Amino acid sequence: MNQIKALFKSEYLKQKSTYWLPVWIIVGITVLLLLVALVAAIVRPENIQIMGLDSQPEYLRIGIYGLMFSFSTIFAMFLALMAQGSLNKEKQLGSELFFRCQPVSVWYVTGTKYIMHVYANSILLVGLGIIFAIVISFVSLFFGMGFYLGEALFGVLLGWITYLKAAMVFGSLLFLFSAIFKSNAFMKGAATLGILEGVFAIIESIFRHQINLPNVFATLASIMGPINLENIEEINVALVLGDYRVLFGLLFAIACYATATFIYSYRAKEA
Amino acid sequence: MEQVIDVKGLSKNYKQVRALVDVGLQIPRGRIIGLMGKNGAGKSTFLKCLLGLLKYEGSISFFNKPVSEWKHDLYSHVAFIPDVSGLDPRLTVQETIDFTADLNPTWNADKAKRLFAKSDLPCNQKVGNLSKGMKTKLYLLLTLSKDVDVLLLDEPTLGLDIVFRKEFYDLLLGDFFDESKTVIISTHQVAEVENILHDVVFIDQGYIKLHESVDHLKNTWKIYEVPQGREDELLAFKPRSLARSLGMVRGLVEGNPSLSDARTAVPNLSDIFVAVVNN
Repeated sequence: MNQIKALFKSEYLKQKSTYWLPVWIIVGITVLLLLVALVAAIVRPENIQIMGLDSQPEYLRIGIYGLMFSFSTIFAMFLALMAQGSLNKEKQLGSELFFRCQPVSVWYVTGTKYIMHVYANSILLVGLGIIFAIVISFVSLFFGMGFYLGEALFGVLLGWITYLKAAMVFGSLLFLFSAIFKSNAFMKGAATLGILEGVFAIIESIFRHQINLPNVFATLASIMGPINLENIEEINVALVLGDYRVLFGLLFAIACYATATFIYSYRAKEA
Repeated sequence: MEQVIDVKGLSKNYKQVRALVDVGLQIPRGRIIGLMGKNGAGKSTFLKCLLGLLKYEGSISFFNKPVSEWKHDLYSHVAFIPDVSGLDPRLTVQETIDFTADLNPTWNADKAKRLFAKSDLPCNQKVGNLSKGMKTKLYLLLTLSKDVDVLLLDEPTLGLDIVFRKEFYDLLLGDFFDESKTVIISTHQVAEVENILHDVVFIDQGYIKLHESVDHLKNTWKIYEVPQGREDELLAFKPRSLARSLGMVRGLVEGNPSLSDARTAVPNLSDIFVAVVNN
């Protein structure tokens, strides 16, 4: 137990700034927007309108879901930054041998890296979402539009699930790329997928589209499930979880993790 | 004497380059062994093969169990300091100590406390900001704080100044080594470790050229010095190396031949190493 705790802790400490940077960026943007609103409220108060909920608290859920979606795009960039270095950063820094020569299973090592680099920053995302949900709920109460914290938190949950699905597919893929490529795994991985897509297109045109090769990027997006921005008005758990394809996403994530671990173990022998 | 490491028929190739060729070696408990060779002789490859960090042909066992069966448990018994002080530059000294302590079941907290209290390592500083000497010292103290049976050191003092080098070996002898431990030090700086070694292994171009105790070597090798006029007498004993200066000729001879009126001296390991490796 101590070992797993130590691995989680060290992964956090190594990437501390990368975890917190998206939080500070969002806080910075929010503060800036509030300042702009404050100045506008002072200079042209007649132009300021507070949007009402019209006694329909689900608007708060939808609004928070949209907010979580915009936060998620910032968090996703930092997820990509972390996940692409999961299994190659230590080699780049020259510290790989130190970590490999510890009495701990390689599955524990890659497992903690996988969780910390692919999913852990979503905890900060959900934390930020909860803070915003509480603040917005109290603002709503303050302006006499009712207190709908439950709906707001529901929006946070829905946004969090959507983010986790994207992380599960694209984060896991980046984790696998980090085992394959020694550096710039994101760019090299994307280029590889692009080349694969191109090869498929050439094969398709040679065989006059008689064989249905999959579209690489579209397939990846489909196993992630729908993002539901087009259905945002009716956003709910069923829509966010999507259909059976999300199970393919889960299997894909497990396959990426297991393959990455095997490559990482094999690569050690060729150091 | 109990064998700690048993190597049989070990070979390793890097594409066309033969790094190790049919190496056989048995290392008992309670010895400090110097693994000596020129740059590129195969020392680092040998140590990495021992730990299963490289693919190889042949068999390697620790405590009568093949290294392939040990997996990560091996590192509860064996510690390794590589040739570059590869600690994570993103962690602080204290974070690195805590990490190693939590991960190693053989961590000796009392010993660690004593060792780090004596050191001047800045606990709150990032490892990346430490000097090379400080990093090596931190690596050594982390390793010495574990109660392992075998310690493998790959060029541990490379690039360090003489003060650090002395401190390094003092720590090694004072705070780690006893009759239950085994230490293998790979180095090409022969003179530096001469006085602490029990055995030496000379390795060259992937071949083990010699594996002998230091005492035995110093008893069986002698330097003979005679006037240049008597060079033929010296050459009759087939010296492994020959040097002429100031009207005298010095030869390194294996065995104890009788050469009247010759001045004799005990060779140092560097002399023997050069003679053996250059054949």
